[in-house]
Amino acid sequence: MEQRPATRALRVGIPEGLHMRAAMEVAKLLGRFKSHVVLVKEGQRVDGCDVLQILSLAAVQHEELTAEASGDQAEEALAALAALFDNDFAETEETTKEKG
Amino acid sequence: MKKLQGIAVSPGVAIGEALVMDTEGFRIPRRFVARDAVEEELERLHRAIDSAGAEIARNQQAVAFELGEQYAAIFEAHLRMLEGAKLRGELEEMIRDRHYSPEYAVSRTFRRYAELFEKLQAETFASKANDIRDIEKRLLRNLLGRRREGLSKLTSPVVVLAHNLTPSETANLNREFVRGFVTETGGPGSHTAVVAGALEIPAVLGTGPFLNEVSGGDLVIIDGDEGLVILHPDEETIARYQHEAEELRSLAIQLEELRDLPAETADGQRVVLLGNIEFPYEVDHCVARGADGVGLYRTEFLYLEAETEPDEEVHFEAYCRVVKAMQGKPVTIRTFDLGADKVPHLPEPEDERNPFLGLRSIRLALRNVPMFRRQLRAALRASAFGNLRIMFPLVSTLLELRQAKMVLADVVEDLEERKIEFDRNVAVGMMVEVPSACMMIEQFVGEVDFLSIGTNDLIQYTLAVDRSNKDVVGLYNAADPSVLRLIDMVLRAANQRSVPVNLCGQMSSNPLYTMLLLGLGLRRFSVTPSAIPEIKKVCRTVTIADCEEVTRRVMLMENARDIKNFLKGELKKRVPEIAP
Repeated sequence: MEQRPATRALRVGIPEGLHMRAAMEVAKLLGRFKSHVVLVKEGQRVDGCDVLQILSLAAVQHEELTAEASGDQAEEALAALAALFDNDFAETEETTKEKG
Repeated sequence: MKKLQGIAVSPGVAIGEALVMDTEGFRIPRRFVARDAVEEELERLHRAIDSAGAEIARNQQAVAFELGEQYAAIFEAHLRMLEGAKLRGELEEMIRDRHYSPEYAVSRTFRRYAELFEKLQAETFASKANDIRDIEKRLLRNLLGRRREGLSKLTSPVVVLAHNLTPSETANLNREFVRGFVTETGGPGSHTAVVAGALEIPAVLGTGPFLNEVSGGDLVIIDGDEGLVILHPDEETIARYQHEAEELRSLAIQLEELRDLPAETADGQRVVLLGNIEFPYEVDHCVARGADGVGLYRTEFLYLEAETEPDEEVHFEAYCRVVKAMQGKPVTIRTFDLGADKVPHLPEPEDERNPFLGLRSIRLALRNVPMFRRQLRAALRASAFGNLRIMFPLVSTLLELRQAKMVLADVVEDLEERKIEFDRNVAVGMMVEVPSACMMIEQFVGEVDFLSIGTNDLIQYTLAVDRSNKDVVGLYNAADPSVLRLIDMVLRAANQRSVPVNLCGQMSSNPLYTMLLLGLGLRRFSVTPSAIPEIKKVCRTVTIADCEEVTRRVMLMENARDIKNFLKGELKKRVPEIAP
């Protein structure tokens, strides 16, 4: 993977923080793309498809994360992820339709 | 090698493989696996993850069907956490590179995540620790399979190491395979301690936390005499303890020869040796050692083992078994001797800030007369089958004794009316274990058929010390001159009126005090069945004149330490093989 990964800043909007259900939605969503996505918080890097690791980031409300996507569908994955964060993790029709 | 100091509650030495129970009663297995077993163990891990995953998926479907999708989401999250690649990688690395057993790897890893979440400030994350534990347990259950039953299904000798064992868990220990046990919590007054003595296996309680330093299968030594637990012992230590265990065995064989010889002093004074028991099966220990009867049958277990109050028949069956087994030799039943906090079916006490000074024992029995009557009725009915005596514990005033006797008289009347058979001459006595009873002993002896001095409580109340409190336990001492003076008062008053008196606390089971007690005029010892041979040995070696001289000198001394050292020396001179 020579090329630099695509990145996107994310902000946790929901009051509960990146808790179990939210972490699960993230993992579920990213599982639909070929791209490999890493979530980064203050230097801690975790696999975006791994619920336990996302939880261990302990991202609370108003905290910022960075998503780094590489490989095929990197941009699509990041766009879908950003939409999920923007919609406060409500699994809306649009996010469901965006699957790859 | 690491030595831990705990509280010695049951003597002897046990050397064996550890069986480690965690706080939730899970059996923690071996920590390491052999190098050539790694592939097999990895396979076992994967199978366990797969079947745990399948279980979660089934739960998810069932809950989704019954309650709706949103409730099933938690299981979906569990499934995804379990199947995360990082977790699997971490577990595999521990097994492959560090040769951890899969079970150990799972507990280590999940505990780390649980701790991580617990430390987080945000409430929502801290509560995730429970989810982590839930997944851990599911995975462990799958890994351990049948082996998780822990204590109930043993097939080889072990020493049990646990955070805590409840009295009924202790009582149900498999006596064929459990060679000894250690708990991190607990103290000498606890019921677990009493049961350990009853099982006659070495036990140490209250060591403080150590379970994370040991794993299943490790070699552990329990020194029940010194209250020591030795983890990872070196060769020299193992050899030393093996030697000691060997000597104890040969001493036991030697003492066994005393079984059919009478307990009498060298100058012909007959001494009565009785056994203290808690469970009906212990009556066999008494018979096997040639006891003259049961001096103390504690009945608390009937209450502790059951969810609801035991009915009259439960009492009756237990008492009958003991009375019949003793074949006409006396059996002294001590009535209910618990605090309200220990009995699940009684209402929670309101003001119990000091349970030892609170509503317990005879006080509680007199507040719950129907319950008290059930026990007395069963005891009286059992008296038709042998030589049974009834004893009231913790009597502190004459009024209490009279009230208890009135309840008993009432039950007697009832049985007579219904023409139910019982022994009309059943002896009625009391425990002397509160200083107030000692001070009023002249009055008490006129109203009872016998007395039994309970030194465990007497020492505690005389010196105002809680012996489970390590900061003050040093004050708790049977050899304290104040305690000896109270015992002296009671023995004098009872002997003068020819009221039989025995001593049933731990003091009477300790050969260190046998000469002193004989010298004070005690002729009836009620002891842990396993101590009968040793006490008999001392009795048969000494003369009463000799003991009286020892006692005269002891009563001139001013502190417990001098008295104990003196007694040690005197015992060593006469019976070197059992001197401490």
